[in-house]
Amino acid sequence: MALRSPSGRTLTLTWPFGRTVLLAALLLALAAGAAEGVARVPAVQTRLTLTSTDNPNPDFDQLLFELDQHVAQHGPLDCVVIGSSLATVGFSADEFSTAYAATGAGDPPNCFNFGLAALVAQQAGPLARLLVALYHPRWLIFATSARDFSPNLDLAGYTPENDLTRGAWVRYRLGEGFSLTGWLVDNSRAYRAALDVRRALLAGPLSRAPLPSPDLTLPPDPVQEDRLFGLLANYQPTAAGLAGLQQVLALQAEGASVYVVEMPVHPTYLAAFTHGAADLALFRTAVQQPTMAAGATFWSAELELSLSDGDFDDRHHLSAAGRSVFSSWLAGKLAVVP
Amino acid sequence: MPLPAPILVVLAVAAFAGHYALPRRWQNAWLLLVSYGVVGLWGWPVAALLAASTLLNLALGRRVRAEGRPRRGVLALGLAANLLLLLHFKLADFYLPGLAALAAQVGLADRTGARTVLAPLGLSYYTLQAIAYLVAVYQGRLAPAPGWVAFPLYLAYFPKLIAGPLEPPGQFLAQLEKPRIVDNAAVARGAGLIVLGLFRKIVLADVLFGYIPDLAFHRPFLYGRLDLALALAAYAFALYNDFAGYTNLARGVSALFGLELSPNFAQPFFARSFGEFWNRWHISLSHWLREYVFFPLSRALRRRWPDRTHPVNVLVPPLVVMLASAAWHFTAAHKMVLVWGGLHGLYLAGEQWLARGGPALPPDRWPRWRQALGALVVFSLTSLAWVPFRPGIGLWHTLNYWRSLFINSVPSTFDARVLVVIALSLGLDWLQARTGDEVFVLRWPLWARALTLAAVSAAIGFCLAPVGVTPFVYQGF
Repeated sequence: MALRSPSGRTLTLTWPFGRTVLLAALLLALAAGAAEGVARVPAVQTRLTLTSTDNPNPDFDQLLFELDQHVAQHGPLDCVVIGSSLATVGFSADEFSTAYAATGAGDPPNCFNFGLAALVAQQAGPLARLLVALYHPRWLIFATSARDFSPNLDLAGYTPENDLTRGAWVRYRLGEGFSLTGWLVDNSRAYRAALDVRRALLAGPLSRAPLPSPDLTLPPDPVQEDRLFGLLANYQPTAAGLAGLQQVLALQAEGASVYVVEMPVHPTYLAAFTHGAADLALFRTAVQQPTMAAGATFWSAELELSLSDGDFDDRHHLSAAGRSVFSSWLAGKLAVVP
Repeated sequence: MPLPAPILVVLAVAAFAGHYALPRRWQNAWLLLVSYGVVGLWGWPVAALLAASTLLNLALGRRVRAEGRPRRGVLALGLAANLLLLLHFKLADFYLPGLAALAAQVGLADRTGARTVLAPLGLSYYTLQAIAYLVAVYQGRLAPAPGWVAFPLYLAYFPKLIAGPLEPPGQFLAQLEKPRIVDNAAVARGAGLIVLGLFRKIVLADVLFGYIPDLAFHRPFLYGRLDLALALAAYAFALYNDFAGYTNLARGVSALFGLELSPNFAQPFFARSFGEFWNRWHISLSHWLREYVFFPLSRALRRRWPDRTHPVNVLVPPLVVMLASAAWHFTAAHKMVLVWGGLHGLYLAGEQWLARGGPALPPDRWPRWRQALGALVVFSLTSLAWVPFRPGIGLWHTLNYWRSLFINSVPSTFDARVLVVIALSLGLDWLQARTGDEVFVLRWPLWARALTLAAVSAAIGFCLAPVGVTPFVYQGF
């Protein structure tokens, strides 16, 4: 084949060409077909756990897998808690259910903690929509704090590379257009198995050293805790974060009861804000007003709970003791909701 | 701003189809149009700045040599204009806030405030090429480019605009004048380079970047010595494959238009001396610096101190060249590159000082043990110098990292996956060095080529991150 131009040939392809590409495509197609066939053999199927949806945030995939297992084992969900690592470590679904039943308000609710490290408010909306669409929980609890609405997303642990809302399957399931990846996750067992292998081989660094816990008897040190100060400097809740909150609140009109709960922080946390308690109040007002306007419920554990140093692991993460206090308090609040 | 892959593919296909549908005499103009279209995706000011720089250098190029006589004043004006433009964008974040505050104090502005000025796309690359063009015309090695297409295309040509390679003007402009026939072999070579580039970027570079612990460079005291050493090796190989991958892609796309671009890398981690390292790493920048900084400076110094082994002649040129290289890499996020450049300057100066009395034997003729030792020393010391090359790193972080590499007592977890990917990278380099051909696979029989292409395509698909390809590091300079 030759593409001619008035002044002569410049692209002169002669037959045969493209044989390497064709043969490679054929080999790939054969390999993919064979792999799918093997993955559908019953004996193989039972051995595949299929945990990945190719989400950029592997923790999301892991939690979703655990949620599926939880639902398979315990039946339909009554409630799901979403939030950042503050929710992950600050809420215990078991203690919550036990405390709820102890109030005599009803049977222990089947609850799941979907707290995801580094989640920010703008991701909470799509996550809540997805979970409500897939699992239809009665209560949707958004355990939030000022950090979720910080403009300094990178200091909150957010990066575009770990944004769960950029996952092809998530977008596909939220109806944001067709995606081959999304379709393959739902329909190809071999593809999902390959994703699991990939996750095992390519998952981030193995060496993750924990940061030393700060001394809670002292105010935060601007040098040692520069990330916390950067996170809260000149605090103003972001429009994107508030839009994420609106998406969560919109689910109230779709049948889920939405509860927005302000997580408690250690008193020394306030020193990291440029304007101290006034900035935290700014956050509270910005979240409380739209929540009430949407007919949803806002509770502030920060205002209602009196916690000691021992209830915190660091300046905003609860310890095991704090987790018990918070989970029981939340159960008590829900128990008196008509 | 990274462009989404579908846009890039559509652009490339449209550019390719248009190029071969047009008569030969319009092909260069088409490539110029496409190049400005690509630049325009980053915003019209970026395209306007490129056009302004092009017009200025085109005009100066026609005046820098008149009636066979070089005009020093015009050259000086051209060098100053280009360097000031580059310096302005490199340093705007440092001096503009001060100027704004000063203006506010004297009532010339109503407010002060910091602003971030990002260097426009490709500025660092096309400015150096414009300087090379002016000097070549001034020295009479090159006739001023005729017309309104050739020189603008030399600066704006889209495959090399974002991150090079820096093309010598004579070499590139000569290709534009000749008819360019693209046949089966040229298409296969271009496609091979593209696949190789994707492999280096996605399978090697991005995977290695992902293995580097998030806080290793900022809080090294949290990691074991072995983990820090592995993180540094991973960073070195990731940088290499990221940039070499980009260069392969640029050269592959360009080959499909019949234009050959210069190679930028030649197995740099096989270098046995620092001089050899810089002949193998970012070759086009090394050549530019040698041509326009090292040689003129060496000649000037030799006029003052004729003895070749005089300390000034041995030590000053490599130090100045590497600091110039560091200045070229300097950005708001890469302030510590000055330390990186200074270290490489010291390495080169030290090497030249040790060799000043003896015969200049090329590394190929060294005994085996010396070659191995040389490669180990060069790799170790260049790796240490990569610490301040990391974006967002301060001097304190750098010193802490070096210190932690030797004294940390935290146990290491040892991520062997890093070594596997590094071995893949070295294996690829070894095959390329052994065959003397970057796309050596093209020499293999059909079944082996197809099997390799299938395996490489599967690996690329397998390693492609869910959010796509990360931006190229050298795009940021």
